Amino acid sequence: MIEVAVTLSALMIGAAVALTGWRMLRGPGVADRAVAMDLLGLLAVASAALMALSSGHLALLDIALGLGLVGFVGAIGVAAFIERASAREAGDD
Amino acid sequence: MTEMLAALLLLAGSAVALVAAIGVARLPDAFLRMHAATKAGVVGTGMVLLGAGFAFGDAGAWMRVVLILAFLLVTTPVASHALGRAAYVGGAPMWAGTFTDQLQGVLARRVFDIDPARVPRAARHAAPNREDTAMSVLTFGNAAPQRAPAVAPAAPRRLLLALAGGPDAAPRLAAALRALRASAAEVTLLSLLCLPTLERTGPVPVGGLHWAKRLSAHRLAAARTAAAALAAEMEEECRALALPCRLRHEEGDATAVLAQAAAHHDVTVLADGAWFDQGQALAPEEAARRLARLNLGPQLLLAAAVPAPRRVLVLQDGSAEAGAAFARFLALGLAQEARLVIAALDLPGAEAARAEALALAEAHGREVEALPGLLHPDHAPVVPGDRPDLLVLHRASDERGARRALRAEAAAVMLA
Repeated sequence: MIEVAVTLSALMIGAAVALTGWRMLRGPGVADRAVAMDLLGLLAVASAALMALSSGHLALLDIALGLGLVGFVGAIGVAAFIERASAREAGDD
Repeated sequence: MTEMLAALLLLAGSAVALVAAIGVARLPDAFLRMHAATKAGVVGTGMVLLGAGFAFGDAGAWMRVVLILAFLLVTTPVASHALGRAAYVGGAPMWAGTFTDQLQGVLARRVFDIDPARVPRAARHAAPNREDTAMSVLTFGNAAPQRAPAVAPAAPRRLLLALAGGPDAAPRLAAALRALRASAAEVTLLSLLCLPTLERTGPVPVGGLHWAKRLSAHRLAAARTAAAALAAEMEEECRALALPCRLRHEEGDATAVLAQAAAHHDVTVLADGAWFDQGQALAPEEAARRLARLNLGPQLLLAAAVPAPRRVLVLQDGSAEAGAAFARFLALGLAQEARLVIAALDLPGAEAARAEALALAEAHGREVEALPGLLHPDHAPVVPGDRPDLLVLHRASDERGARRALRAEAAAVMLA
């Protein structure tokens, strides 16, 4: 039963990754790509949990924790970059 | 039982994650997409993680799951807040149906990569004197009314006052009326609502059509009320100045209606940075861009704080259009008492054009001088002495550096 649920969940997460990836490629702005990247990070955490279930390795949950960390730092970094770059562009402050 | 709960949590979590991804793909702007991505994303991932915890069932797995969950719940709001702020500051475009911008005037909205042509919008507190930066096609501040021209009065002129909305529109248009009283014989008040702008909804998310329609109906109603108030105020102003005026209300494509109306008038007076939506649908910079794209008859752009012009700078770039524009300016007989300064840009034929323009102005009996030297075509004109009150350009020279620089300095521009 749990195997079937994991397979179905993996399919749905896969579809979600495809949609989010399309948005990330499509843009149109940096902000849209950053949002898509944020969601991709969350989806990666979910798929790491699913992989942990299907393989039975608890270590994959540690990977999920690491992915969550990296996604957070990445989002903050991109946000800071956009803000600073747009401030420089406008030439004020 | 636990296995069933785990399976349910897994399926529900991934379904929510899928909904989040559909939202990110389908919603119309970055801010709405963020709304889907972070809220639904955290719930979906969290449920999948809880499902994994139930399926493993041992303490090691639960510890990790709880740790990840706590971490996600703490970091995701922070990350999405930072991203949202960055998107706003970076100027990510908003859906047309957005009708409250609570950060307006709080955070500066700058330009990052979306639209290189857009000018940055400064925060309200950064520009204490809005009058100085507000530009209008013909806008005078609360300046003293122009004296009657010293030369014999020119032929009667018809003035088209396009009632474009905005917070400053009424005082600016009223000041323009006072300043032009001497040379205007008849005023047409054109109250215009731009339907394509007001009814634009942009891409609509699933199920949002009803709300989009409601929003645009709300915008249209608000714009009609504002337009009626503005028209009444301007009519009152005309009556106070004893100017004959006609009021006309139109709803339709502003570019078409305005071009058609301007063709029958000598001078078109417009509030720059305002569009015919009465401040309902467009940001001022977008409105200014649309106005700049309109090819109307003679337009006069004056900074709000500038009184009736005393010193007029005429730029000649050697093209036939610039010469013709100067001739049209002279024929209109505006700014009769002003001293004309004719400058040449560093372009072929400009020096000869300067000499011709000088002769033409003298023939019209205007006080005139030539500015020695040549100005760089893409830089702000550096004029010795006082800053000119008015710059005369031809219509096609819209996007040249000189006009942009003068706009930044809030001097006046005439597009003849």
